[in-house]
Amino acid sequence: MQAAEVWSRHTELVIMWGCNATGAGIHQDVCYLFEAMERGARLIVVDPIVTAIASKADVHLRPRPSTDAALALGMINHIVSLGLEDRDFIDRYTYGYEELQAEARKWTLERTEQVTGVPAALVAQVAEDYATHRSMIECGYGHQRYTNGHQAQQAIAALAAVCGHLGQPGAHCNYMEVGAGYAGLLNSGKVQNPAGAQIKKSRLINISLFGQAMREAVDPPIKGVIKWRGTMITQHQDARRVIEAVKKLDFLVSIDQFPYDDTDYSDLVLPACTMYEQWGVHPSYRHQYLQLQVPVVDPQYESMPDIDFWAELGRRMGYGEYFPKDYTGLDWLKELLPPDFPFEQAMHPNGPIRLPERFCHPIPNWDGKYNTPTGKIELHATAYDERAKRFPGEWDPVARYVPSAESAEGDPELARRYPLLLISQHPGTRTHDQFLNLPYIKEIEGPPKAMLHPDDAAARGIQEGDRIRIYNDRAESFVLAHVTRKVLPATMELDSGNWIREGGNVNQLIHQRVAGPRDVGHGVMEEYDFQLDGHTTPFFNLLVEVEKA
Amino acid sequence: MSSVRRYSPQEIEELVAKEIPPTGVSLACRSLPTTTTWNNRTVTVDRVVKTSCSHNCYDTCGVLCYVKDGRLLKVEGDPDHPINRGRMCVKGYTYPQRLHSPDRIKYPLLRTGERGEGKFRRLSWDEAFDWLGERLTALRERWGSEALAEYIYSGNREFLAKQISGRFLSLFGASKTVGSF
Repeated sequence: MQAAEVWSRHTELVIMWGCNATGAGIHQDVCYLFEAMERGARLIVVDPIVTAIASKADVHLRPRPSTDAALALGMINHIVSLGLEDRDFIDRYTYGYEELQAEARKWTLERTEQVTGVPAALVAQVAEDYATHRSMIECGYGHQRYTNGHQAQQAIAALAAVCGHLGQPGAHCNYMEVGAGYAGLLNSGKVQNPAGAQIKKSRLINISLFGQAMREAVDPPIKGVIKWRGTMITQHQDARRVIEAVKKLDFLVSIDQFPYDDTDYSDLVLPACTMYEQWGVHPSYRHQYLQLQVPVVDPQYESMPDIDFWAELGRRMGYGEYFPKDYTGLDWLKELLPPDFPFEQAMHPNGPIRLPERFCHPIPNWDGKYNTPTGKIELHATAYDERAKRFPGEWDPVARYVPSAESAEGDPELARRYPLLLISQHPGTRTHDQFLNLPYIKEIEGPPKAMLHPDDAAARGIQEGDRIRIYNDRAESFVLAHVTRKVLPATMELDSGNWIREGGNVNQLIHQRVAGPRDVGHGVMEEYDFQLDGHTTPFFNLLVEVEKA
Repeated sequence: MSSVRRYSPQEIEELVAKEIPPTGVSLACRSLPTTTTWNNRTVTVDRVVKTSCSHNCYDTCGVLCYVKDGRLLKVEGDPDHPINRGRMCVKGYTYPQRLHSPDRIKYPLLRTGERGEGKFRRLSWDEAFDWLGERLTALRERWGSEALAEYIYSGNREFLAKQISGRFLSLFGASKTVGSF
């Protein structure tokens, strides 16, 4: 991740791709971005929706949802056709360029326009401007929320590589890297698997298919779930079937701060602390600074710090030697962080510190080194070839456009019954389903609304403010209509995170499936590679119909 | 051919040294305040605690928490944090209302109604641990330890407690939840 403090000072052009910066990460992707723009940098936004950040763009490209890979390949083809690619960079630092070019060549401007809906002239203009300026791409998750999301991300990264816009101040392709937390800063293995303990390898459950795994796992079935720091019912796809699965458990324990959908279905509900009532460490996944978290106030009511809960449960289950009673959060932190970590510098009243560059360099790949099997930027992903020998899936090693599941192009039959593709944004007033219940937030948000294009509204006799029913074979949601050109025709938007019991929940409408190349069946696995199997959840592959309620 | 000049590795090293603060040392340059404004009044607080926000947002803001009479009075962005530079988002500012909300789950609760009804009775923590311990033991005897799974994600994305739960689940032999949304 190239540091915002660096790229904002040096870039000439920024593409915000699938990144609703006004919803999350505002300090980097809005404040630093605006500073870059005040210096004269141009802003291109790629997003089907007119987000607040899109409204500030010099050019706003609005591809049909899930066609981002086609857009990137069309840009690559146009750049190469004009000879604007960086030949020297390609030769020195990439692997598989010829194969990429063979794929990109299929994407003439005309075909790109046909599939993405973005006018050919705009694709050409943005491609030329991108190639000929010191350019950044800031990727969000938007284009990744489809079954072809990994291909879109691969194509976007390939665009940067073809132009040599990597590893240079103000020129890089930032995406959601996992950050220093996984790059060796945290010694998770040592804490999770203490020396001297007999630990056997357990099977793995893919969280994107947790509902299905709860229903279908055998030998043994899943019979008990302890749920904390996450929302299983409100936020999972196809909530009705998750609820069916929960009802078959022997027990569900929820550790939560507020009563909501998940606690309603729990057998035991335990009061959780907030982040200001306990110790913690959260290395960012998009910047290089760290401030350790210290308890600010005592745990409120009878809430218990999460560490204390798990340690006490461990002692009661007979693992006392691994959970010393007098251990504080700071003692545990000292086991988790490197021996030379400067605690005093990073902790109240001091801090933050910048993390050592071996965990997160402010200009990654500055030295032309790439952590891949070939040591180069793999436009042909050789690791996928290896993976394909061992696991089923769609291990296409070169970026290409494949229509996504449950979209007009990917499932025309279903689209005849449910013609509207529904995207769910993350509103800036919430973290998914959190904060929704606070009076301040309720006052700002008002009742849940869904965005609907005027043409689609008129065809259904729906007017601004009408109560509407959004439905498909899985569920229905009732909200108010916001009729607006901020969404494209045949597209709707309903924010994620509305509680089912309060109405307007979107996730219950979504089919349970994974994105990413690997086919993991019903979600029970023996082995899993975080980077290569690449699972996310295709929350935006969702077709619905709407009517006046 | 590209028309964009490339920086040499040496130029990049110089640029980082010049534009980015050093690693491993505190970037705090202001002393923590002792007063703040609150509802148009100047209030002297008991203490100000410097911490950070881990609400699954990659800004992971530096935060100053104003504490008075054991309560979180107000939060502000840490002006010395290079990312948020004294600013906060609306969610961050609501935190005193969240932390002290009367609607919080206040003590352990055991279900008494049907699943989904939301009917519970109060337990002590001791009773809650006993209840859970009995069920974990029974589950392991009847089904095997992998019949237990943890559902965790990024509600509080902080990493420390996840390692402690990980230690418990490793020792118990539970199924391991992996992957991402």
